[in-house]
Amino acid sequence: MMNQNLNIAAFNSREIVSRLAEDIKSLSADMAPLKLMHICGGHENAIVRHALRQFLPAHIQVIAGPGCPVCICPVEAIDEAITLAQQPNTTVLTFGDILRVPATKTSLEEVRAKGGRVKVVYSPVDAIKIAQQEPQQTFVFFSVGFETTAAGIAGLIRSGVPENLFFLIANRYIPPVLKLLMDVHDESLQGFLLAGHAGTITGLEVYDFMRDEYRLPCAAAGFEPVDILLAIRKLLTLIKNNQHDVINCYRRVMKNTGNKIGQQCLSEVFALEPGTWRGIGAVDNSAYQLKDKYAHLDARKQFNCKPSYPPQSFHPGCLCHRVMLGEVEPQDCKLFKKVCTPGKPFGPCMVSAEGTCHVRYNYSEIKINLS
Amino acid sequence: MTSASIKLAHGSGGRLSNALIHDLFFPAFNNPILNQAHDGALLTMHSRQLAFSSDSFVVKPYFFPGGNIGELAVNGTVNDLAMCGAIPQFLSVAFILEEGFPMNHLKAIVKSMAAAAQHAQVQIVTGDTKVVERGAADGVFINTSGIGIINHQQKISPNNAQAGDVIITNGYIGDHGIAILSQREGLFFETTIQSDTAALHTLVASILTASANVRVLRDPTRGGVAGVLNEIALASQVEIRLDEVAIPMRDSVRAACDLLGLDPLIIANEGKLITIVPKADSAAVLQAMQLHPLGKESAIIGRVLNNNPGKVTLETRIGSLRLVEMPLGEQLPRIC
Repeated sequence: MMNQNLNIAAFNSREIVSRLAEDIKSLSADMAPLKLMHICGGHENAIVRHALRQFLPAHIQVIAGPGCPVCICPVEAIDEAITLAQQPNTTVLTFGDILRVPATKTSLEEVRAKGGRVKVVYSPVDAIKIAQQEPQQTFVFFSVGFETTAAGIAGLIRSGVPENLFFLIANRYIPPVLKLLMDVHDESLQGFLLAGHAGTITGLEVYDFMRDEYRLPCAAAGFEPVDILLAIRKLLTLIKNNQHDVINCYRRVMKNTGNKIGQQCLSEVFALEPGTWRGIGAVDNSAYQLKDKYAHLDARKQFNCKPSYPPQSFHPGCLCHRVMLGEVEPQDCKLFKKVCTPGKPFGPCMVSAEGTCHVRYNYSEIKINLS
Repeated sequence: MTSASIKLAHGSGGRLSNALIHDLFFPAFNNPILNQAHDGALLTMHSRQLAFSSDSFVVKPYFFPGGNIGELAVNGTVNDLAMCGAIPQFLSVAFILEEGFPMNHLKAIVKSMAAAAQHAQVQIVTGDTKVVERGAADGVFINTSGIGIINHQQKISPNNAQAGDVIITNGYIGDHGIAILSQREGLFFETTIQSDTAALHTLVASILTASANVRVLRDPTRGGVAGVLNEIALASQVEIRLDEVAIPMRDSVRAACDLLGLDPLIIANEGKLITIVPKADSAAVLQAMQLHPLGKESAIIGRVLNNNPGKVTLETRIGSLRLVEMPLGEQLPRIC
């Protein structure tokens, strides 16, 4: 549980940051070059906004993995939402940042501009209120997000929803994608920073396979500068000592066992099946699907939402898929900042505030002496 | 220019706006007064120093928390004149109205324009009205132009910043942009943030009284603090280094920016100014500003260096340094 008396300013303290940076520097002085990967858009945002990479020695790289739920949302699912929004008497409800993501032919935003019914909500609870206000209209909640969002949706579904509200589920479960990342990257990848808020639901046991099968250390981290540097220091210590534990560096919020009620909701409402991640491909046991007892709420089963055209995930030339895997930096993409901007995004990573390209577009570090 | 057609970003106050001005308008209208590239033109007529400025307003929605398009149009031109160091005197007002625009909305807008003009001690002395067919405009667009008198000898210009100078602003940044965004469809969140729209010429007068060496005066409207400071850094060929901790910002604006993934430094302001003064004068200027009703939260937010000419940098609260880039700006069309 969150400690209410905690002094959050300490997590932004210049003194503590500089002490951690010193520790990291001396700890890594005799270590070979290595990469740590985070898998959370919130981490990339914080790292770049606070220019945290300046505090790391050149041979310790922190790279961004597939941590933005809007970015990895499969284009097929957005195409389905678009198809639904074009059907009579049907309104698609969704979170704002998916609105502008380019799908195969168009985006939800363009569909809305042309008269399709798409409404932005800030909480799934709003979906219930909106559906109750217009009982003759069909509403479909397009659900995108990782464990944390999925748990909220599961709780909502379990507690009962109006008859005219359905769900198009595109939620994804993070742990299995780590296996895939291990296949893509070479041995220079030596540890993962886990997303603190996803871990808040699932706890850490679901990552034990990293220790047992891959022998790679993981540390769950929060989102303030000190949170992130603490986790990096911990990972480097583990690597140096040839240890492979999964460590909680976000104890002020997260329990090792996670949130039991959230876990119960998830397992009661959803099954995990193989599912596509945009830019990454199929990942086993990573797609939340409504269980059969909730089939009456499943938009895919209740409506025809298959578009008449085949999916196309990326604009030619767009490197979002390789950015998401941590293989290239946004700057390596020829479209980045030249034609691909937050105002006119070519790929999903330029849309969400947590997309690596969007974050790097807004903030760049400067490599000069701090004096 | 590479674009075959006009994009929203050409009106954003960011990079594309600059390109349009420098590649199309300046060569076409070429003259020494225009080439000063100030917020308004500095003129000499019959040995009087005058400032002349014009601005159009297309804000959506036209009623927003803390104001409406009418008072924004008056304050906007008053401020453009004030940033030239002028005392605003006369304004013109031109309306472009869409067929079907509610008369009571127009009345409310005009009433608040009259009040804003009275408050700023300017007279609206001429005007024009055009009505276009439904769909050819979005409700109401307003242009205001204005003339002001310059009563001092100070050389105030965006290319005047010098290493060693300090940068001062008169209070919380980002209020106007977030007040507008909070009203936009799809971005509705509970907020009490009000637009900061205000006439700044009396605050400018206090600054000019406190220092005889004011280098730069700008109002960070479209493109925000980041846009204005990048222009100054380029024009003066200096580095401008901001101190994140020192920048006044409401917690609610910070939270809204976090939620929307926006950098508060690119958010538009309508009642804020940036002034750059020599360090020796900074204490007097800061004190004078803090004594003014529109400057209670004034703060020194940065300094001018020679290290990275043309760049704006930010020293973060944890001591790292990042670039603050010129916003492209098309993320927030029709903010004013």
